[in-house]
Amino acid sequence: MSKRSSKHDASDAIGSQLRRYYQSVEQEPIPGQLLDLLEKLDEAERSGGSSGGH
Amino acid sequence: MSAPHTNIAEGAVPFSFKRELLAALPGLRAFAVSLSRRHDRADDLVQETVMKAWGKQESFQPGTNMRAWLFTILRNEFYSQMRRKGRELPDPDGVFAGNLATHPEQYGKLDMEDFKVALDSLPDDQREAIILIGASGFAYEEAAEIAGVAVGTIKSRVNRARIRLRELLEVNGESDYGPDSTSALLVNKSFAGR
Repeated sequence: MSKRSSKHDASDAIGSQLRRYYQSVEQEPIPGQLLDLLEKLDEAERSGGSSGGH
Repeated sequence: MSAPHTNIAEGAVPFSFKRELLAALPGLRAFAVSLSRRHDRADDLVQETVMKAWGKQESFQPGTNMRAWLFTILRNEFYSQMRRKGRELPDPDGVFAGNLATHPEQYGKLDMEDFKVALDSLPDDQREAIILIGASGFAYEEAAEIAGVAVGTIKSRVNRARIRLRELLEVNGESDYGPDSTSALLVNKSFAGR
């Protein structure tokens, strides 16, 4: 039984799966609602109004 | 009005706070999905975070790490929502619908689903730690600051998370992956590290 050294491969496998998963979410398009919100906040600020939450 | 929403980097972005916020959104959202385990909840969280961050942008010190600042706000928001609403069990249908609505063809789907189930089963603090360190790319010191704990605590959470994931996924090394998928993982890794 000489599987000791493969312990390292195992953490690598977990690590790359973790990154692949995270990247798959990062690559999803940003929801339009969120971008709209940011535009509204920006507009409100530029027109000198208060950015009053909702 | 539903805005077209793929190209966030284009167009006139006059304020750099806004630009940096936009640039941080994909990672922030991935952190939110990992933390809350649900896409719908994650989007609420990101929305709250954006409003909070916008409201206190004066308190952000230019030159410091904007991503870490935003992640901290999101994390605090997550835990305060949990306290407010209590912990509801995620609806498995919702979780699946949310995941499958994305691009299943982009990766080995079964592998990824197994991984997501295993990741979601970790305690919140361990899941958070392994994501911050292993996927979001923060240093231990930064992750400790985001989570409001000592560096040693983050390290031990990450270790426990790794051990648990290894157990759950029964990854013992090459025997479970085979030489082909091992090299595939290595290839993947080389372009994962930006």
